[in-house]
Amino acid sequence: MRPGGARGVSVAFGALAAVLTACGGPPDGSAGMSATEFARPYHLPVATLTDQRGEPFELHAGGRGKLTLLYFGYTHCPDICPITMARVARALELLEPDERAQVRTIFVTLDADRDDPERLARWLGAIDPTFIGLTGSQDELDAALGAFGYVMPPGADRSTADYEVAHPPTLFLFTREPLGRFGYAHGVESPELLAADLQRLLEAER
Amino acid sequence: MIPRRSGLPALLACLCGFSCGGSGTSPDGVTARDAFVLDPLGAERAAFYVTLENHGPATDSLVAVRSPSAEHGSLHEMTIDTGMMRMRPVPGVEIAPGAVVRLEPGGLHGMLEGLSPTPGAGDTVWVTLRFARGDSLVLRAPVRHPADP
Repeated sequence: MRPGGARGVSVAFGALAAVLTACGGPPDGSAGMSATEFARPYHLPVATLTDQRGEPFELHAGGRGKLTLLYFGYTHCPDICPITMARVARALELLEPDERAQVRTIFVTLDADRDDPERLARWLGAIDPTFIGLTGSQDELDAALGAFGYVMPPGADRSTADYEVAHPPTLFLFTREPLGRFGYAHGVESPELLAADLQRLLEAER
Repeated sequence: MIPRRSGLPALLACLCGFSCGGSGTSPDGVTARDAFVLDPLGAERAAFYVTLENHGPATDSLVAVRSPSAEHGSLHEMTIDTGMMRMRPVPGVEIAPGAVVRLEPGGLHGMLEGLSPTPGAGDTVWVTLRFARGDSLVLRAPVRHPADP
């Protein structure tokens, strides 16, 4: 039996449909990208969260002039979260330093209880310390996720020590506007392809 | 029916002549290979992966994953539910005769919980696999960084 209410199902399927119905790219450098283009681009969520240094971070305020990679997950995630973030790090290593300086990577946890700034700093430090890790209250984090059409499944039991956290598998890619036009529906399958996509967008928007 | 096995699985396995390495074969003919643990990056739980192949004449099931480094272990499956990645426990992983079943990122995995100390990339972790037909298999699984799973 699948958990989750009808509203959650319809909203989440809407987001999934946006991913699946994406098509090829317009003549702005996005043609030939391995990323999926969303039928309707996303905006960065209006949210003031806390970064891994304990400083406030306005998610909606920055990003203009840079490409932004955004992923929702949790540091106790068994595989997809660390593998996705590690492959992003590997992709960035393939870029030239000036290209890399134009890409920022944000990891938003969906696990307010366990992922405090210290834990985020330690986890991201083992992957790429330049990544921005954000946490907040569970309501704030759920609201940020909601900007992408996802709803946390109701009734999730977080009373046990090893509880799981639902999260989207998609890595979002924001252009310089910033507009969330692209996504990797199954995380990063190839660092090389992600690096090529980033270079294509950087070149097109130069 | 899940036969009970108690205590000292590693010792029993080795005494019974099972392989003690990154791969091995149970007396009932289930081969395990390419075992590894994903670096938990400081968390006290880590995912375990292995490829299982049943060379025997009967269906068997992986029913438990244990490690002396972990308080307990379990088997999980990742699923996509209403667009979200979810993790749910599974009671066992069936391996039909001739079948190859992969525990791999994004699919099935063993979860080692309550790790102390938490292992890091380059370490090795002893893992015992228990099967429904009564065999145990002891493997030494290398720990890999998430960039190299």
